[in-house]
Amino acid sequence: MDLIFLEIYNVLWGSFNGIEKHAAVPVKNVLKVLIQHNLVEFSAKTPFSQPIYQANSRNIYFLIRLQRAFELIQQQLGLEARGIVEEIVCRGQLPMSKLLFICGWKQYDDDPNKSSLTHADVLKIVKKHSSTFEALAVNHYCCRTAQILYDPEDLVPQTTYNEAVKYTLPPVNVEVIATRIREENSDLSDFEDSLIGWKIDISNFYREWRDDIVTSALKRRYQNMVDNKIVRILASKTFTCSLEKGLPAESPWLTHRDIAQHLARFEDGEKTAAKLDEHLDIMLQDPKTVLSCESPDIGPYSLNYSAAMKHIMFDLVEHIILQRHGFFAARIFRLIRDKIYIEQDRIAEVGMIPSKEAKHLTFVLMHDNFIKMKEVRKTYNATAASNKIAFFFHIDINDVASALLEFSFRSMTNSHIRRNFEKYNFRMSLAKEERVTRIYNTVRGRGATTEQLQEIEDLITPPEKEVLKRARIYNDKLPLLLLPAAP
Amino acid sequence: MSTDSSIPSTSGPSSKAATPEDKKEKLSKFERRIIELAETFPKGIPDKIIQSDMPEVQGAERAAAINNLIEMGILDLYKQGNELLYKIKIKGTETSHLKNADKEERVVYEIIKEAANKGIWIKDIRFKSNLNQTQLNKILKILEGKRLIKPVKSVAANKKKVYMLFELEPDRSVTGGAWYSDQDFESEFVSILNQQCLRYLREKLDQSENLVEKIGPRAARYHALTKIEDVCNFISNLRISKVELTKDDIECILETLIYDAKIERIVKGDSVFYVAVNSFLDTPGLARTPCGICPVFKECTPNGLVNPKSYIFSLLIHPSKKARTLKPHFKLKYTETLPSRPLLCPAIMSRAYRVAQNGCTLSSLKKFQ
Repeated sequence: MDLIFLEIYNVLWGSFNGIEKHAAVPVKNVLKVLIQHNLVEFSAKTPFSQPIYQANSRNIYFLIRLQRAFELIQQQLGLEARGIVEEIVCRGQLPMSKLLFICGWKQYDDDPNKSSLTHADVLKIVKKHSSTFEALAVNHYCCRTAQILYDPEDLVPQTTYNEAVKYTLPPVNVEVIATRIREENSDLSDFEDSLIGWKIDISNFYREWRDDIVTSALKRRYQNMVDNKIVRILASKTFTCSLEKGLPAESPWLTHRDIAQHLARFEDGEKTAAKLDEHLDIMLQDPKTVLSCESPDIGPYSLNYSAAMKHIMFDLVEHIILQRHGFFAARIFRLIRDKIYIEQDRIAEVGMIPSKEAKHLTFVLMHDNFIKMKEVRKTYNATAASNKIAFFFHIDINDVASALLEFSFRSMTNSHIRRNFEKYNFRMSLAKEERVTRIYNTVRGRGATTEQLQEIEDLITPPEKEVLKRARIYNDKLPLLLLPAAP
Repeated sequence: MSTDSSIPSTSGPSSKAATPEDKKEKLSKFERRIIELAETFPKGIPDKIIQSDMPEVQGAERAAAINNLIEMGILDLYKQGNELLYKIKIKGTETSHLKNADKEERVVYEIIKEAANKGIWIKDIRFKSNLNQTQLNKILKILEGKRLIKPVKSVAANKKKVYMLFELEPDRSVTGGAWYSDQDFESEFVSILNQQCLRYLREKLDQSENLVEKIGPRAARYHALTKIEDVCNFISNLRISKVELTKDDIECILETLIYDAKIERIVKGDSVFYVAVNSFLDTPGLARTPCGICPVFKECTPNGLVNPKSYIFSLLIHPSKKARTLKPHFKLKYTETLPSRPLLCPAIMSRAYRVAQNGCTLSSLKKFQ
């Protein structure tokens, strides 16, 4: 599967014959699996109506972020919701009835007293899963898949998508599901919704993560000047997003009254609601313009996500420059960003940086692709001397983004190599620790005394313990190892 | 040149005491007409205009009259391209020291005067006056001796000296303002002022954050807003500067803090306030990984001299002063990379960059340094 997937990914799109020719293995079943997992899409190629397959990059990138997605679901809707989402991810897409059956059966099967469970108990389990799934659909974490229409005349089946029922749950008989669980009968083909598949709606996850970044960034910026509850209310959910159309650039518009009503639901919200206009006023006066409003007194108000994300993104780049090259370099970067085009002499003058240092840092920033240089000729003469050319520095944000991406990938790879290297270096100590732990657990299970256990523990000497402590740092934390920030 | 009976004698005590008005009374009709023309065209009149206005006057006669007017200090002679221009001299511009000066000295003096407090470079004086280097040096020495002009070192270039009138205060662009002493940028002084300004604004923000509960967010916010005058007073009370710092100087310092993203400028009506701000993000994880601060990150490859298994990586994992101050002075064989030593001229940088992009060795890049 990996090989065929790579072939599809390399050609980005291609016909069945083309892929088969490239991959040199039977691909039909593999393609089926990839389509089921939404990693490959198909469409009809005109005029011969040949099927064309295309890799879905967005869904592929999402695989890297699955762990974060599971954590988000668990945090918001609980462990059961996480289980349902994990099940959907494992199977790519599946009908609601089948999903409820699988989740219910797993819980039923895991129960040590499953033989004593009555129909009412199993029904309770299925109903609970059903309500959790409903919450997932209401919160737009799951959506229906496109319906496939088979026409014997067409080589390629047609797909239709009804946006109106995207998050609408089909009628499902939970009573029958509970009965089938108890009977351990997994045949659900007679269910009404057997052709309605459900998948993960990844756009909503991206929106959640974006909102989370904005909310925490604004909390850090305003500290207690602006109550973060207001920001969280303003960043309340917008369900009109799709990755194809792009995430919404602003939050839903809320009036002063709406925000005050939402605040009243919080524990100490009334206190904040009393001075709501003052909090909003501070946000409105912020030169970063993260809050938009139609009328300063009554609103409505909306969070400007695009402005906020722009500032956050530049803040991120500036922090990286600050840590890598020092505060003068970060100052130069901001200066160039502010002036758009600026000459070397002006950088030293406006930035109040010693000339030599300014030149050195400008070179370093250019070397790391953070800034670019543009030559502008003072004369029309093509063979003019270098002093007849003005050199302007500017920022190309696309170049900065690709430079940082490369930087991130290389850092990750280096950390991984280092972790494996350290693991190899400490292999003797780690093996000894494993042996001692195994003995310790066996002896403890047999009811050994504390003295005996202590003796086993002492098999690892203090210097060895130090080595193991270091090994643990490298092995467990190296990918996430963060150095303290430079002063 | 022929002499006219109406041209007054410039020698003798009586002529020295004569005012320009007295002089004008003694002028011939032809000379008066030249003055009228010069007054009509304040930018200067070329010889052709005089010729066409008074075709009856012969060339020699015309030359004598113009010479006389120049000697009397009524007209000034300028050169534009290959053409001579006659300009009326503005009243009261001549200093008493220039009375005995010759024509060349006057010309040089006028050129320097035009440059005002920004000064003029000796090369530009030579170009404008059409005098040779030796002659110009001599004149400049004389004018300096008479305390009419003075040389001032410019911060723009190390060896560049500009001339301006003796009584003028050099412009900030020439001296660099309070931040330069003897052409050297006082970076430590600037950094101390930078820190103190930030400390003042930061303290005000911290105070105001503590006051939110008591006085409400809006009032607390106003407490944090600071006018430039307050910052000036704070700095002057600290007495860390020997020179008196102006509002503009402090504004320059605050400008650098804005570029450091530590403060922001807020405009309310006609007033401008400064306030310390918190950044949106904490130090990102990427910047805190060993590679995030590695000075030889670009040279790092899995099988290279610098690699993730090498000593430098271990140094970076253990946050010590030694690792942070590590400089990229490893003797590496450079291929397809740029030299770590800074290149000073952007033009050379550009050329070196182009060469390096195509791939080259260190030795071939060394010639650019």
